[in-house]
Amino acid sequence: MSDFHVLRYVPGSSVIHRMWAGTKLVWFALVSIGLLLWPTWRAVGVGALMVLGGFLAARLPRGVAPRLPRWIWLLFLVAFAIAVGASGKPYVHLGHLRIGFGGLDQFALFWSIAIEVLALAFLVSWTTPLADLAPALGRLGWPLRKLRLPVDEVVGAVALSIRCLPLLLEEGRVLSAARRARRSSAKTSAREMAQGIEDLIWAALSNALRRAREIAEAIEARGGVPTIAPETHPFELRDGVLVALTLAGMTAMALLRA
Amino acid sequence: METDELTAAPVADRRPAVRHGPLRPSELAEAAVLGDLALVMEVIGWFAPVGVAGIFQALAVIPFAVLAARHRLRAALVSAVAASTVAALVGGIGIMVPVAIASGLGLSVGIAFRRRWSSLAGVGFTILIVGLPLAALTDALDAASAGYRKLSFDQIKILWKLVADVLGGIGLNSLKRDGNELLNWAITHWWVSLPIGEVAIIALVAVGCTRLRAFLVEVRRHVPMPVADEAVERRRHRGTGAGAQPEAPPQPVPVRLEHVSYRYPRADTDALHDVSLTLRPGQFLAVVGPNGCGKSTLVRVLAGRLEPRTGRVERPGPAGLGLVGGTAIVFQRPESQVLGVRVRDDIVWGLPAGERPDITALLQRVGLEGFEERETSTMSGGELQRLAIAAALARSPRLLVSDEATAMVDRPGREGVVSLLRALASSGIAVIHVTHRVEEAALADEVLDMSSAVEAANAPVAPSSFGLALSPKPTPRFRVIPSLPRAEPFPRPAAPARPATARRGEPLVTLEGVGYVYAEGTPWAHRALEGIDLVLWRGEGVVLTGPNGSGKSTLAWLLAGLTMPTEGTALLEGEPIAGQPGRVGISFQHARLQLLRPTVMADVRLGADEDRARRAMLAVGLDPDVMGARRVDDLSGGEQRRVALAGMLVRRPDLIVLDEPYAGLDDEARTSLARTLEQLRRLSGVAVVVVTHDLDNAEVLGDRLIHLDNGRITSEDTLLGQP
Repeated sequence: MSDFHVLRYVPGSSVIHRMWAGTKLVWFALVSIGLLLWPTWRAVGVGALMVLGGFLAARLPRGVAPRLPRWIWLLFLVAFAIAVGASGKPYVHLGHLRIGFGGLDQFALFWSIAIEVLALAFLVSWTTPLADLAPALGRLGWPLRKLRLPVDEVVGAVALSIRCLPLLLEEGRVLSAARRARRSSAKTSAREMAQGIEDLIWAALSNALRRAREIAEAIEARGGVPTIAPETHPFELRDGVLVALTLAGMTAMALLRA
Repeated sequence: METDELTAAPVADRRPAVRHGPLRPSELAEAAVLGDLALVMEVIGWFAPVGVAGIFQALAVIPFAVLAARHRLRAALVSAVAASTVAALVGGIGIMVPVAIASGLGLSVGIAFRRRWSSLAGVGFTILIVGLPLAALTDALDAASAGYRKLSFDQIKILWKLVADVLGGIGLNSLKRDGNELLNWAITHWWVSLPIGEVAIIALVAVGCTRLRAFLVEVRRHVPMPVADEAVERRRHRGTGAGAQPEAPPQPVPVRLEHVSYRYPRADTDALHDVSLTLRPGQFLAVVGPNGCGKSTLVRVLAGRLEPRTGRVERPGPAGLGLVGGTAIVFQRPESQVLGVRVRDDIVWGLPAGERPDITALLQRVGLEGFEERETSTMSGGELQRLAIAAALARSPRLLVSDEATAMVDRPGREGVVSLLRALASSGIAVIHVTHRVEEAALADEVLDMSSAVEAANAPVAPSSFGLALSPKPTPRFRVIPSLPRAEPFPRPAAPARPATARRGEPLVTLEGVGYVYAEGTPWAHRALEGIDLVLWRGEGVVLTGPNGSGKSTLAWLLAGLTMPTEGTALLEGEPIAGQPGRVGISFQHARLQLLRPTVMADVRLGADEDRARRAMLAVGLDPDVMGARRVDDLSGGEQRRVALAGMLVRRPDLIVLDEPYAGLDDEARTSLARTLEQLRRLSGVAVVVVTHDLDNAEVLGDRLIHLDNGRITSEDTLLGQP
């Protein structure tokens, strides 16, 4: 589990790195929504152009690519087989075997969209210092603040969540290692397994609440829950260009859906 | 009280104490941490094999249910929104949607529980606030996007066709026909069929969730509500400055305590008994005493968080905890008090909008030059404590309290922190340093020894982290078992416990050219170990030491077979260690994570019979009759480590690895643990590796002392037979 590289920043000085975090969040959100609303191959193509362009511009080292667990490929294979087995035209004949590729099309489209959205989320988190994410969200939330919603509180909780996530992941790593170290060689019944899961939850919860208590003390030692200072990162030409490109992409997705 | 004392807070009411207004520190902290816990479960579910994945994703409901059962709706809603947002950043919509659904389910279950609604009403409530909105959202999305509709229906059709083919193949043609008709109807009437289907699924899930209620009852019974911070008046620094400041400016010093005593609610004895002291600006006061003597309670009184029951506290103005010119506290656990992702952000965290401290100068003052942009998650314990002091100094405090700030830090780190405190006192700040290490008091102007307070009050009483006030600790806490041969006082017995002959034959563990790189091949790769050659023999005691970040803990994990080396071989009697679980036991610094059952005896018994479990408990100095029924959450950190040790012994391991077994223990508990380990080695022939930065009593722990630095073995000393 040490290989969970969620929300980790890769230092750099590319155009994407220097952009305001809020711009990248808008980019991410709009492309995701576009793909959800108009899931066609053309939209995927438009999205792929933007994601690939982003990756090229960000100049990330090749090593960032996550290594997938082996069973994912197995799952992929099974899903692939189902899709092929159950699909219709067009058919390809291999000797006596007739393989239909009609369902494969939908299968591939579904997965392409999922992977594209994931890649964009990774791109944003790899190129944005984590500390910049929450304040940018706060600035983007101005319409909600006008509605007197507690935007600052949510932003404060997001910032604290991002800070605590590595601590909890590390505890999760220790917890699973401890279980492995004590796993019994004897076969376990379903009942014992359920018991084991409940115990696991208790350990995790008890630790998390204790951690929360320490953090609450630390917050208090700093004078209580603060209001987040408004951030003032400039919105520059490159930000404008990306927003314009994103809007153009959205329009293209909508127009090409037919 | 050992490690847990620092997290102790008074236990009181189980209802949310706050009813309106902005979130309080405890609410914000639990909202963030529990939301994270749910997210972590989703992420694990993502990476876990298919069958297990669903379980983890279902478990993500629980943290939200616990939160909603403990706190008001505002905290639960903030947590749900924040966790969903972070989830989207972590992995896009694919992980955000399950987290959002889990938060909705958890919220509804928690609220129904807190308001004591019947199970039926709870199910109805879940359908109302999760099922209906979900159905409406799906309908809206499907109505807006014909493409999305087609895509999801095509997936369903593909699956059904497969099932239908099977049905046709085995002659159930009528079923196949009916199914076809039903599916066609559902697809043409999607705006009815989809919502009905979703609401039905949510209703089923909601019925399943009613089983969580028993769990929530347990949580309510055993995990007290945080109230410490609610006792303090609310102070906020609104950007608009709308008169939220307290009237009187903070004036925490000079402070005078006269015969102050404090007793926590529902406790039988005083946590703090008859303490008198005076503290002036520029004075450095050390407070020493064993765990459980009331040091942390004293800190709370000085910080103005507790009003003494008897006695007087005199100070010129309010203590002003966390305010500019007031009182600042640095706590024990380094990583829990750092609130910012970057060093720069952490220092200004919570400062009033107008304050712009000179961050570079502050970092220089605590010896962290050039750390402005570092991510706090990459820093060592000693560095984090210095950072916490810098953040405290950003408020120009008049009173600085170190609440055992050195307890978890290695020796060079400790020395640095103590001399920094000394320098700060010399610059005019009143400084209190609470510690259980007498040698750290050397630089202080005055020393308050609280060990006698224990005898006076005759019991350690401050409630420990969870539920202690509900189940007061019996004393003495470690009973020395008369049937065991009592070890001689240090140093070790004259006759070497393990004669040299034991080295003949096969070695127990052989490490050859072992190296370890975290996250190899990624931009975050970092080398922890390199070229380690090490041989361990049966019954041997080895102490592994080195500064923070030297690779000690990684080596401990390798020895325990929990990770595979990325280079070289790690063998236990010729086979890879990782393939032989159970032959090596490991004890982590935070032992709670490795205790898997709610009570002590149930945990030790895992995979053994009761008789063996009793013997194992006796061997680590726990009386099974006294300790067996205790809840592991009610134990102190040191006691939890002993339970973990007993849990290993029942499996008769050949090697035991202990990672920082001394962290947070006072002298008495350390001596007792060292003696226990020494006896284990002598009586059962198990090899013991102790990983520690704390070399007091090292000669009792082992024959060999191995120094690690920068992932390499730098020197090896013999401890046995030295003059």
